[in-house]
Amino acid sequence: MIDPGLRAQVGALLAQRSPDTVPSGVLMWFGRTDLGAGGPDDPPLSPEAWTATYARLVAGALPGALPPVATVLAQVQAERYGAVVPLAIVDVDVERPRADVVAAFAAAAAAGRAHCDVAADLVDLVEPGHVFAVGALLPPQWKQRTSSHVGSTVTYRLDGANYLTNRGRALPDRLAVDFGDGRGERTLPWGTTITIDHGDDVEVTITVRVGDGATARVGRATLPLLHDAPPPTPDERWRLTGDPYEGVAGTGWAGTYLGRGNAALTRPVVLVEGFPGGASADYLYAQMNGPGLLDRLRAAGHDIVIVGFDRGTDLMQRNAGVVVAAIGELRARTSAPAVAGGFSMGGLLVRYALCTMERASQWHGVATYLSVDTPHGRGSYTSPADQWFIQELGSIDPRLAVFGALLDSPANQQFLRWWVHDGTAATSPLREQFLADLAAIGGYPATARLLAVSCGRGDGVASMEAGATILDWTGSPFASATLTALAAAGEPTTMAQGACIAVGDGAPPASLPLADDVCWDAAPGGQNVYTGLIASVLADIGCGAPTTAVPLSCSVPTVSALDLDGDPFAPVPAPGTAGPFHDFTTSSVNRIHLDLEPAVVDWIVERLTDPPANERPDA
Amino acid sequence: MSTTTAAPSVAATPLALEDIQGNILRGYRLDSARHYALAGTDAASTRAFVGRLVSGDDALPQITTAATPWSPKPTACLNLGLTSTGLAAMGVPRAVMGAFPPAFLAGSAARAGATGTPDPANPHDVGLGDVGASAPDRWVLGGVSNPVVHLLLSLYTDPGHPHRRTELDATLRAAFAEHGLTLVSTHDAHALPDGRVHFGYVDGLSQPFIAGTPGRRRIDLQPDSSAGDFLLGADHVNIYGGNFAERLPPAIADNGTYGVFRIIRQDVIAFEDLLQRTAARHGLDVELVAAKLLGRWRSGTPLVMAPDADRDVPAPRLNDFDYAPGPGHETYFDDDAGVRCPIGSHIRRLNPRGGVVMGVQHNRRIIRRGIAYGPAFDPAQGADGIERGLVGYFICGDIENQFEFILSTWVNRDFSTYGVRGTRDPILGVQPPTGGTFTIRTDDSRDPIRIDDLPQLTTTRGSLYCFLPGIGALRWLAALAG
Repeated sequence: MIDPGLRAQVGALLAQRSPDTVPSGVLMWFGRTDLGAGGPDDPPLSPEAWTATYARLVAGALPGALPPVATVLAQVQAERYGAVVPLAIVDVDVERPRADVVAAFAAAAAAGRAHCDVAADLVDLVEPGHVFAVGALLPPQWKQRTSSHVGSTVTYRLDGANYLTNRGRALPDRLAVDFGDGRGERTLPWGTTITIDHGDDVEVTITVRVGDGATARVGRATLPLLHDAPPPTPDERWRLTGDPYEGVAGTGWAGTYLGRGNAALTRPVVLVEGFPGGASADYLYAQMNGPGLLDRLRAAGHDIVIVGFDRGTDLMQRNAGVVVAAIGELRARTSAPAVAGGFSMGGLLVRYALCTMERASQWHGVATYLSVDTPHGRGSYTSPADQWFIQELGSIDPRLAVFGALLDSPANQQFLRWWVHDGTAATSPLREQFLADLAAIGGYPATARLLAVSCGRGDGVASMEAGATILDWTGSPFASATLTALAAAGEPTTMAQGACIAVGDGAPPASLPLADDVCWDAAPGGQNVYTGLIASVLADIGCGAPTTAVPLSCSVPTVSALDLDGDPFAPVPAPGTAGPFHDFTTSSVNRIHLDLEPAVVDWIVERLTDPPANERPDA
Repeated sequence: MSTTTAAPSVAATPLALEDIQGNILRGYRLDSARHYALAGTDAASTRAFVGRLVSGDDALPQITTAATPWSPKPTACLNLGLTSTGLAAMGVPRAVMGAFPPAFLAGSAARAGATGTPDPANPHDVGLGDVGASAPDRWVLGGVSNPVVHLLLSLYTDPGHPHRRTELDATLRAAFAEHGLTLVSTHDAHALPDGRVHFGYVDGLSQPFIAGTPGRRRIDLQPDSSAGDFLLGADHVNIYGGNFAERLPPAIADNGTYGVFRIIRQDVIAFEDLLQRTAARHGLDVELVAAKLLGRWRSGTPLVMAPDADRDVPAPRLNDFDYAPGPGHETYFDDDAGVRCPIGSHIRRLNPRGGVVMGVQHNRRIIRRGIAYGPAFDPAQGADGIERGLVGYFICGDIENQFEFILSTWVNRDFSTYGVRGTRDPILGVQPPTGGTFTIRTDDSRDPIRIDDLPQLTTTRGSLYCFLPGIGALRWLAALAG
């Protein structure tokens, strides 16, 4: 374990950071610092590798020195799969510790010493360097760890806003790009938008040269290409504004996809986005379509209306107003009976919206409510160990910091069973308020058939051992951490502990004890990949080796998705015999949250296209 | 169309030039522009940045006003537009925000949806034309998938002083970072030789002349525009006898106006193909086809003045024409049938001049401040994939009644009117997939020439509805609390 004195020494050195001691504004001092400088031997970077590189720089940047990672990626966050591809160029001078300084601190840390014998002034320990990296920015894609551009034709944009450099530097005069299309390098002005046909290529390498002669820097970016058809374009798109909640209105949008043979909305199925919102129509269509759900419903004559949110992290009461607005738009167009449902948090928002309308004697005309892996009942679950890690050590990488902001967002607090805050895990007051508000308006819509599906199995089989180690970060003298699942027997267990010199200021290693009567990590249910994502970021940092024996853990327990009160490790009862739902189904294995298996899609399609007589709205 | 009494001439009232942003009254003719789309992260820091642009701060370039000395000509000019989202984010009180017109508050993307949604009762209504490839979910700025923009800062520079732009670019970028402003995107423009656009036409010829504006007045059969047609508040009177500021407080309204910032892609190859194809098919000169589509020869000479062949007309006289006799030119050639200048031609649809199409004559004028983007097309290179077009402001005092009306009605509506029935504007209009229609009448016994394979020549790539405040209003914004 790193000696507190050594962490204090590092903290004192970092406290010296200022424009005077770090003239570049970027001090790369933790993890791997040997990033490419724009030479011919630098490896090409995938979109994800470029993001990881940029995140390393932002982690070492003085406040305001570089735009946040999330800001740079925001321009493609909600873009369609075949949208314009911005090329991002990072071209920054940096400071970084000399190799001998790093070695001295490593030796001191490994030996458990409280002090490293180096100069006391930061400026005496660092040397100048440079990082140059080119990347293609792509929107996130459902189920894809690595995104691809969809289509053989790519429209690239060379926007001066994506030239990321030290403060006070202007755009370089000379920019030349080889798009790998056989036409060689072209000198182009900033602001150029250019369309290239890449034919049958499945990956292209784009070479960007900035500057002239001996001072030129060269970077290469790879761009994977998928030649599949992209999701369909909405037939119509609505802007939505809900009634204000606590003085502020939620906003969002809806996209309509007409069913086969329909010239207008005829048999509408409204499906609502889950947390955190802000996804593109393409992303949501791909997610909800799964193994053909939307395509099959449309082929059967149903019209799909996808509802998305501008701020899906906001209070759920506020975004439920957006769903009410969507149903209002629907009702301005058709009085046909509708299906309304939601994926994950979206299911809660639809519940709240329909109950609100019923309470206000507003006709919603929703005959069937469909819940897809929604955290009803006892809510969703995010490993408190993961949450602790993000909260305590997340500052080492801006991507983890973004993750932390999502965990602390109002909506997440509202549907999360255990929210880690100030070193404790508890139910958020926001959740208590939401549940009280929902109960006060009826809990579930009274006039609709209620259907639910779970992405978890229904036989009660645990997915891991209680108290299992889910992440182990070792191999570096500068950091270590161990994260475990909850224990089973209700005994307080130290489920997370660790330390990192990067965030140390002399405080002792932090840890999180927590008592619960259930090892929710192991509960059958839709799974999240948060532990795996943390490990992936740690690997990018290049400090030690994270291992994840169990990269998945329960996200929405089956008993939550079906709103059942019983033991999460017991087989679920027969549909219609317990809980609020008239009918439900589970998955054969625990799947990634919202990743529907074909049998579940069959189940949904059957019930929406040919409901049994006793479940028909007019029965 | 018919002609009636022209709008009364406008009395020139003194303008507070030092309070009016310079790009409203004057085309700078600085051939490079860089537009910075910005989003603030902190209201106070954003206000401080805006304040520094109008405070005489030596460390930052200052907003150019209409009073900025033009001798010697500046090597750089700077102007600022704010979106409704930006104004709200800066802390403009809710009551003041509510006094802005709904179109501005909704913003460009929302208005495209609101006006472009197919109406089952009128399936041919495409609203502003921002549908299909022009829909806001395809834009690179201001669209439904693009990050929010609060400020649009426009730097105009003289290409003869490239170091000046580099210096100012670095200064501004440092200031953005200092004030927590996120640079969302930049949009560069570089004028083509002779003031032409990528379709080869000389552009920007028929700008309204605002009564009271200093400088040389060109010969124009159109009356001067009232300052109130473009400037809000400050007792400016618009063509309707009112003021577009309406309930907006003078502190923010006075001498401001609205600027619709558009990025419009021009499909040069499709355009040249159309010219060549039509010329060959109908035995016409290629340049005559180009002239008929626009209403002017590519040199800028109006067809009304030179119907058969281009001729050299002095630049100051390029607006000395009308389509029919009118007050002061009662014996003028009557081209009511569109024999010289097709009724459906671009400049005639978008500015009927003395003709009354809807409402009051001359009430739909807009000031255009666009510059070409993308390199000049080289036919020898063929299709190079590089996007080309026009980027800049359309300035007007009332977005809904001026800009939106022109787009949704004069550009994209199919009038039941002789000469334009079944058509949309040939340059900007949304054309059906099978091709649009354009009619060229002849002055002999031949049937009109009908072009029925008109491709869509332009695509909207981005759009922002901005408010261009007066200098006093910028100071008022900078001084807001909260």
